[in-house]
Amino acid sequence: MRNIKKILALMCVASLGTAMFAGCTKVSDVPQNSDETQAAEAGEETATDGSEKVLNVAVFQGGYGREVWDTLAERFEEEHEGVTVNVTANPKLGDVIRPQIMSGNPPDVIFLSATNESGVLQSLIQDKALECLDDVFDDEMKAKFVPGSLDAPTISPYGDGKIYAAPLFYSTMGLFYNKTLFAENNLEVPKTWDDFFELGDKAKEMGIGLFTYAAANDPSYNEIVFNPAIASAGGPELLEDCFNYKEGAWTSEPVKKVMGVYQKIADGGYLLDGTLAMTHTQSQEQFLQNKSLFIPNGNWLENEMKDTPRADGFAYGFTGIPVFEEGDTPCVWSNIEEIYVPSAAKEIDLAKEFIKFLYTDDSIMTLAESTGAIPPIEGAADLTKSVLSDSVYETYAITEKGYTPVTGGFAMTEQSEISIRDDIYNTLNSIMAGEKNVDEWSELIESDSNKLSEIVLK
Amino acid sequence: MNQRKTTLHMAGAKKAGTRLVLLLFTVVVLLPIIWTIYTSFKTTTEFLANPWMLPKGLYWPNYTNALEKGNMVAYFKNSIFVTLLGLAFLVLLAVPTAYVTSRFKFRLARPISLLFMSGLFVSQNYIVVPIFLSLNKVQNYLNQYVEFQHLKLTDNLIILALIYAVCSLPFSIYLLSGFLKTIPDEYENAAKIDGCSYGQTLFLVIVPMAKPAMVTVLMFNYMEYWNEYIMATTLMQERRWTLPVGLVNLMEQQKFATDWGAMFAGMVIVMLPTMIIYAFVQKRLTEGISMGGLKG
Amino acid sequence: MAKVNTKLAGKFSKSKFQRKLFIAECTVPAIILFAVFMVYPAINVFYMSFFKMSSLSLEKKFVGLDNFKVLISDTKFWQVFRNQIFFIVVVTIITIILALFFAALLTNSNLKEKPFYQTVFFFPNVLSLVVISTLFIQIYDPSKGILTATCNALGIQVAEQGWLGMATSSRWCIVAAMVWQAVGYYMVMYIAAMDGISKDLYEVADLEGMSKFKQFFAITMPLMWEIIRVTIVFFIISTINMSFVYVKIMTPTGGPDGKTEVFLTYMYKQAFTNSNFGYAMALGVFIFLFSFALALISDKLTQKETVEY
Repeated sequence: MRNIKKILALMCVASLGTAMFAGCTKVSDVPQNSDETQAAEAGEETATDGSEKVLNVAVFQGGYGREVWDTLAERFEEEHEGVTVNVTANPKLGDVIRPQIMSGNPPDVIFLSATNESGVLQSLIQDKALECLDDVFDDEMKAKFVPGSLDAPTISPYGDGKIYAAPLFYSTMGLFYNKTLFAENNLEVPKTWDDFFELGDKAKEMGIGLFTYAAANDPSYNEIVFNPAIASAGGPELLEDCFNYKEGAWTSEPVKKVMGVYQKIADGGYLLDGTLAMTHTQSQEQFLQNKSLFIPNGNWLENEMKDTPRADGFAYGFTGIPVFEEGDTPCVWSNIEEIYVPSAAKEIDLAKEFIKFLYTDDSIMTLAESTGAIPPIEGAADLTKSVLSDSVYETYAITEKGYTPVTGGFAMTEQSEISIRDDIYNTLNSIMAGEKNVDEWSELIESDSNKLSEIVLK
Repeated sequence: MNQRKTTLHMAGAKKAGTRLVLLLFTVVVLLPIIWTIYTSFKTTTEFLANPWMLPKGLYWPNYTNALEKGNMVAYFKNSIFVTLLGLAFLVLLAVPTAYVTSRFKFRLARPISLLFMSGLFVSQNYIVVPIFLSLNKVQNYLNQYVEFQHLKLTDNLIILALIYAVCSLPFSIYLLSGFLKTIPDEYENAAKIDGCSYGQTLFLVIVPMAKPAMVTVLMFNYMEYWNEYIMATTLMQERRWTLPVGLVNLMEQQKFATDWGAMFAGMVIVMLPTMIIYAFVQKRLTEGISMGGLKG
Repeated sequence: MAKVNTKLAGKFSKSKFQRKLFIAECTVPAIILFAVFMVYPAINVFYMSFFKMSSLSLEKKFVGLDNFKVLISDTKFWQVFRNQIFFIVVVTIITIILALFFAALLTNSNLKEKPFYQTVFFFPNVLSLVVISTLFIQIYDPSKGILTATCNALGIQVAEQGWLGMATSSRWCIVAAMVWQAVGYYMVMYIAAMDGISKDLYEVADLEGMSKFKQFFAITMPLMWEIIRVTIVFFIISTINMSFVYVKIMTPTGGPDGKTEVFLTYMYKQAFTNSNFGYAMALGVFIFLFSFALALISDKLTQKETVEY
């Protein structure tokens, strides 16, 4: 009797156990019993795959907005029967797609530039997880591109000439100002840094700032000033050395001279009040209100701020970066925004097709019209001139005024705890706040640079 | 007599002083919220004037913008679902465990409570990614089988609720155990004599007595779940975001579109339902914390 | 006689078994889920800290203790460490003192509108941290915020570069938001504890001519010390976690001169922006050990004989 009770109880425990693990046992039973259904279902899936393909496109929703991508997606669908394009657009795109990439389900096409804080492109490069785009960039295609635009470290990261990310947008960036404000106050666009600071004193008299930027969320907007100024003061080779972590590059005189410009903005009180707490749109808003003479920015500025109230008669003006001595080569920063295909993507061929499609004249026109951005293809600026706004066209035409475009980026390295861009631009904020000085700044970057030089990706 | 009067006077003065201090802090708490509410009705140009100024009229497009761009209604539903389900899971898991480990003498009682205690120091914030990776692995494995073909472990609100519940087990068990220890043995003995099974004793005798502590635990965790941001952003896809994730997204969008109105409206939309619910339950809520307290 | 004995034995073993069964039913599901969703991932964090890997592919390369060596020599990390200590110490002290102060004020005053204050002070707690951070950004905004506007109106010198823009003010801005949110909650808890103290004790003290102020330290504090202890330990851990959300939203770059960067924001930066996942996990291990040690220390430091009258 007692035993029976015990057994019963044991059975109870056992049943409790099986109830808990019911899920698991069922799982292992299933495949043997239902091979047929599985096959049927798989068949069904391939059948639908044949007639209907889905291309997942993930784009960064920044100054360019998302509408243009919807337009392009629609047109691509029209041209390709049975293809549906899903556009994911988000200002925090990195956070949205990271889980997808990690779980092996990445979007097929990603437009998220290397300068984005999410670091997605860098990770994909380090992991060698990008699809080679040499199919897209055959010789004929390559010939169309502006020389040098396909050599950037994010475009062709492994030094073998193979292209892993496509340079979708190319833009020239520099200092924006309000033409009307300048004309009304008889101000002249500065050629040298001395001119620039003279304007600063006039700005003080007018009770406004000389300079403002996106200090609170993205001080790296300053690369627009910082990098070309280095190239202009020490030659493009020096900038190259800086990007390749060459010893002594960051403590060299020309670099310190450029850093000194920031020191002077800070010491002279030329920075617009409140700048250090402003995000990029906030500083841009202030700029549109004539609160600051200059703001470093790119050609998306106008589109990004199209709904924002501004001072009466406001007219965008654009100029390059001042030089130290007359006779120095004046430079402007040019930047490339990448679009790429993860090698784990489901629709690689279609994705490549989509990238090709973006480089057709029609697409170039559409992109230019609604974003003002164009690809680094020879003659693209002239092709799109009719649809570009004046200020945007001016950014491309700056090279005709004698400004040399410079570009580049830090050589890719293995994983490291150092984020050299952060160190440069966050310290720039500290300079502006009067909390650090130029020597500390250049030494910090030099020490970062020395550490990074040892782990450059080959 | 006279002396009595002066003390009364002094008490009166004291009371006034106390009131002043309390009212001051009341202003500090309420003002930002009131400001947010009226600012949400400003037009873009009104934003450029003095921040204290009241709007001229009620500018409703801010709200339609926030609702349309921000998709706040859907996120609100998700938040409610996850929070309630998470709390249900929590009660089912934490109360029995706390009861047994605190009131039963058995060899594993101490190790088990220590195990849960150690969880107090594991922050959700850094186990998010491992959780995400493991869920994906399991999902990919299960998806091989027909029954689980369409099973989603990540981007699943039920799993999210379960994770919330499990992550708050350590603290909840710690709190509940502390309270349950203080209940005298007599109640259980009486229940035993009445012929109650262990389960009956737990649910009919102990749980009602532990109500104050349970309310405290639920309150603590309601806030945890309602506020949680990191786990939800990592595990959920856009359609299943919760309110905090939606609001951050709205704020990000605002950074690129300078639509201040929509942003303030978004804040009000997130706050308002909580405020209404709070107005109804606040008494119970503070009472619950008061009664439950943290009795060692 | 023998019959009776077996019956008794049977009953005894049955109840013993039922007891075991009940214990198992109560604990096993929780333990399993706990193991799956907390223990295993936590072990994973330790495990991954020995590898070099990025946040996306998780292709690993074993590097032993390298990540920890980097951590020790990473000057940025030690700055983050100091920032975190600042937040823990300052926020905990201010919040608990204010909460005790208001609790004592409310319990002693017997105002009839006491529930009103309780309701209002507690209110920030029902708001999402994301809402609070967003709200405070707006308050501190140099052109649209009420703080600057008020200071200007009163003729007070304001931070020229914006409250969140200067190294000196930015961390206090975040402290203010955190305190604003937390005071009410702890206040309600302390009120509960104070209400639980027998009124007789105070009457006796009154008769002995002890001032209210003295009573607070002689009667109230010792009797509710246990609760204060628990809240301190809880608060330290929650500060590490909550400061993350505040900082991430209010100063996304880690603040001027990295002054507001805290453990978890730095960890996230390393994991994602910097794509250095292994190192981030090493930071995770450190944070775990740190909060564990800190809780133990604060528990030991605050340990006193529990007083019961």
